[in-house]
Amino acid sequence: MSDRPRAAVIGGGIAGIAASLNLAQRGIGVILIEREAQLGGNASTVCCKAVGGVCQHCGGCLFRDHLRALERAEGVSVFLQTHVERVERREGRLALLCERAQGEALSFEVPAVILATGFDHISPLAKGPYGYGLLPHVITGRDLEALLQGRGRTACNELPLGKVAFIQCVGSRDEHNGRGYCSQVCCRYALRLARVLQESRPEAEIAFFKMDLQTSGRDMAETWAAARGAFRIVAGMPALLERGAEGKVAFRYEEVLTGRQIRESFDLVVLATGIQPRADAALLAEQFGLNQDPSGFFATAPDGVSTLVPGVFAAGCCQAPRSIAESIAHAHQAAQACVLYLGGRA
Amino acid sequence: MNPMPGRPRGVIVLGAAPEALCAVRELAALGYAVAWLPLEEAQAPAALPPNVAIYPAAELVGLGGYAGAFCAQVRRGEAIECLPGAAVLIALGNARCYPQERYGLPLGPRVLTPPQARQRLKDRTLEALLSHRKAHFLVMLDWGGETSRETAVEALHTARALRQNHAEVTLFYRDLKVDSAPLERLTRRMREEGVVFCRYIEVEVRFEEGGVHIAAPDGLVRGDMLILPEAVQPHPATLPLAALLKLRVGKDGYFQEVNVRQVRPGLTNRKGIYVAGRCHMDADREAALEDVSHVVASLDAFLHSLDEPPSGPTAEVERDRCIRCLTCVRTCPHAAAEVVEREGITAAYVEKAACWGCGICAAHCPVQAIALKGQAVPSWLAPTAQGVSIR
Repeated sequence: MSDRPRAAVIGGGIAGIAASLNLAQRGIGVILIEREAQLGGNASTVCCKAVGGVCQHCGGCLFRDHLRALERAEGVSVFLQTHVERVERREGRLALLCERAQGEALSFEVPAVILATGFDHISPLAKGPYGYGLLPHVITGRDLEALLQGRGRTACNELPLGKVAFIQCVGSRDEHNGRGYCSQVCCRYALRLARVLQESRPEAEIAFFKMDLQTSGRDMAETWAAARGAFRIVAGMPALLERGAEGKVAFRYEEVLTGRQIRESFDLVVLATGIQPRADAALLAEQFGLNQDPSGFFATAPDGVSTLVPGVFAAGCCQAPRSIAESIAHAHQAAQACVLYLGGRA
Repeated sequence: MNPMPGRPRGVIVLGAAPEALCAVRELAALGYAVAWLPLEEAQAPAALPPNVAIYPAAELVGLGGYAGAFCAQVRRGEAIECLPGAAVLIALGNARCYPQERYGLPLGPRVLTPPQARQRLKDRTLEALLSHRKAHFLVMLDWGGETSRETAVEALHTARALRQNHAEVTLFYRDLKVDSAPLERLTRRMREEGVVFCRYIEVEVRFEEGGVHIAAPDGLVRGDMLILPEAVQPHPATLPLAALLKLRVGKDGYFQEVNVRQVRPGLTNRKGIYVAGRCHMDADREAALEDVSHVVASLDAFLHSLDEPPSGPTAEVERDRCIRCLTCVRTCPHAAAEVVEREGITAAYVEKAACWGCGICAAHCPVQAIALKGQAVPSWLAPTAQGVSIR
């Protein structure tokens, strides 16, 4: 073990676990560092969205699959409740000076590091006029995921599923909030969640308010085919959400295609919030000497995984927004680049 | 457990798409000896790495062996040659067509596809039109059905090229698929450069007075030329190749990876055979090449895992009980079972290196001659005195 080349993976979310497994599969010893008390990160809060027993390819179960594979894998040492305090370069190697839960200091010296620090959810409060936290029955997609994951489909019985509005691009593609990018995942998870709600309450009227629905991707084909006729899809974004009559949520929107202004009320409003760089991304970038792109994600070379610092690679959502499956694929690619860097071949 | 395997390994790459060249280069950079069979007329690239052998006029007639030791039977002229490889990567690409029945419009002097428009820009045959100041091109996405990602991106690039040649360009769309940062940047730049984006649900197209008229929600738009994107379809070699290699093809006619959730990117139903790029997904060029990188990474990790002792269960046949009914050969989704003569007995045999341990053959065997061996008890199934309890 000690004579093997080693790498450190920072972040124990789905990308970090996938990258560690890929390296371990090649016989490279890996140190996996996770800040929280458990592995999983954001991927662990994604619920299963199968409809009628048919998988919708959301990837919610992949975290558990990967965790099980990690239990069996040889050569991955996991350090929980550990975070990097300082990074030093020592003769081409990176020394990670870490701190553990009770202030215990720990240091590792490795030739290569894969950053897989993931993302933060965009706070729905960034869109003040949408009244999250002020109006009843305005929830985020993430709240709905957590509800379904924690309590299963019975949770749907407690939701007011008469008329439901999904509002897309809450925080994403929004230059006023400094996020001009598409978060990639929100249209897909919202469409899948809508199908789950519809399965529980077939008579529910579900409407989508969107700029453009992003439904490409092989994993989306079946869901989109099933969703296309099932939901009302409105091109137009609501301006201000208000308290309506009988505990409903009311808002006015302009239908882009006709220019008509319409006021409608809904029993439940789901805000499809997106992905933003972690709050500590700038700190990490400074520690490792990385660049960030204009949106704050780690900047990489055109291969998408190598940062401008030799021996430091980025995997998953810390580099750009990605779905769970895409994060895994990206992590494989980062591990590959890392192996090439380690010179692990004749 | 050696991270630097001593024995050099080969990979067989099939297909002539740009993805294939990209895969060949990436695999060669990883130190694999690559045997590249384009399977169709293709121009060989000028410089290939030394560890790549290209077989331009070769026909694939069969694939023997299993993961780690495949053997591609290749006909070159009269002789049949056997090319060894530890894994196979397929990058056929896709095929294009102009979907006339979808649009209800034949191509003509006023209706062009994006590649035709670009060709005419290059040949300067659009010059006369572009010289009068208000040449107006109408680009129509998602008409009569969704435009594929690849051709939609091509249409966007064409619209931009026309705009940069000082034409007016109006682009009609339903949903602008910009779910990647480069595409988002592209459309933003196009807007800044003056391409008009117009959303529609239903439009009516008429040809009048030598022009094209589109009745759009914002009013009538008059243009000189209509640009309609092509459609993509599976490469014609997909089905024959799938039949030859016993690979699964999806309902849409493209190669079906074993798991679209990308747990193992690009892996087919047969261990060691991978598909990459547009022969299994709808992608623009950048996304297809990115997929190649993912698939190569997954393939490389797989080939390294071959050095390790096999983990997980595999099916094993009690060969003297076998009645040679071929049930396992038919039911195995991974083409791992065959009936062969070994040690004087002709009976079913499951190749360990090709077996996923799914247990389907064991479940179907009418004489219970197949069992899964090497199955570890999962950690959540703890044996107790009473038997097994699920924690």
